[in-house]
Amino acid sequence: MKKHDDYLATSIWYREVIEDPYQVIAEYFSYVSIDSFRKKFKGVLIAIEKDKLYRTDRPTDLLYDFKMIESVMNAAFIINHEKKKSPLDISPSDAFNKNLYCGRYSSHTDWDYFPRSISMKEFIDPYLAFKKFFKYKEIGEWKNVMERIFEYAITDASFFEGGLVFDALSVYFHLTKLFEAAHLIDVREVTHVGGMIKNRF
Amino acid sequence: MKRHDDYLASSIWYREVINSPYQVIAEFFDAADIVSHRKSIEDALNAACSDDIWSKTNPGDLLFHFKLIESIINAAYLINKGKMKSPLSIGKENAFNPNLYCGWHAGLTAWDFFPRMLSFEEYRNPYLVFRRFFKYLPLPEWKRELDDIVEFALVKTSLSEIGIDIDTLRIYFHLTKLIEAAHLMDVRKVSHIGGTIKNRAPFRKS
Repeated sequence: MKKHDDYLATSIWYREVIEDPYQVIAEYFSYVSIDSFRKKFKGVLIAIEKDKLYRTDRPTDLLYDFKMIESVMNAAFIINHEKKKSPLDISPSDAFNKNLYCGRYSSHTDWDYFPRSISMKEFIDPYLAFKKFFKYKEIGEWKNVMERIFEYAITDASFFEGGLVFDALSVYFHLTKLFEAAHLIDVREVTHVGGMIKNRF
Repeated sequence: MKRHDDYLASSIWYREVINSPYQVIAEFFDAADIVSHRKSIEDALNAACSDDIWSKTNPGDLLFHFKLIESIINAAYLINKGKMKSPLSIGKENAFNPNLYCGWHAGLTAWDFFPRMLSFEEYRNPYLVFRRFFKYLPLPEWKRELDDIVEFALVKTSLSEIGIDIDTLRIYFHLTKLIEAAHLMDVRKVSHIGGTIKNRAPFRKS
């Protein structure tokens, strides 16, 4: 049976005890927007499919990105453990209501925030995406996948060359859905980041 | 130098001479909607890259679907030769205008029609996608990729098992972008399918 603190036992980079998983999500999206996450993660996965290094000025930055990604994975694990459901009553006709999906970066537009991977059901209840994420792989397996992705992103060998089987499309979609769902929860349910009210203008 | 009829020489399943590439696109979306096309590409790639066999429908459907994909690649190849640009002026403030992306299929909503993989630049000028598609791989190589995907989607062996290194994600993104760009052209430019006016009755709003 899964234990509530499995996330700590499996952690690779982010080893902090989480008191408030919603604040972990809020901190992630004050560090990077959903649009930037999508672009960067896609770039990393494309690089590891080929025998190319992921181009970044400093590999340490990529390490930090992965640490932050793991923090959201851990937060999602805890939230999923609580079997939560969206408190909002959303109907399909609300799909283009900006209040439901637009974040707070003034440099971004609706186009950048609009979800690209989640289904309508997951848009209505983003917690569903968390459930599917951990149904596809256990938290420990996800950590192994992330460790391999990082390893191959900073070398010029590909997964194929390393003889590893990599379900690129499924990994891409599950992770993107997880982050889009976390973004929606952040927009809809979190009002502050570390005690500071979120900028809504 | 590339010849105008290269598409016929490299064709595997769709060997018809194309007189109007925009009509080929219109017929593509008459055969199936954008949601089904996106899903079929994902399912076929998943089946080709894993030990699973395509099990969504019968194998004939997969073959028919790839014949349609080849038809749209051929049409895109011809359109791309014309070095076209979108005549529309689209800003981020009107990106969500349903007239720019909603098709005529009554069962779908704006959520379904909205492009998922295109950048804003590509949304504004879908012809850019065709250019990038053929910059990534030339036409005959695209045909070979499609042939491999179909072959390995229908057997238990995966592409990697027999030593074929396929760029799953890039192939997926390029093919999906191609279909989304073609869909935008169909919505914005094509008024009929084989002489029959398109249904423009109000669609469901979301």
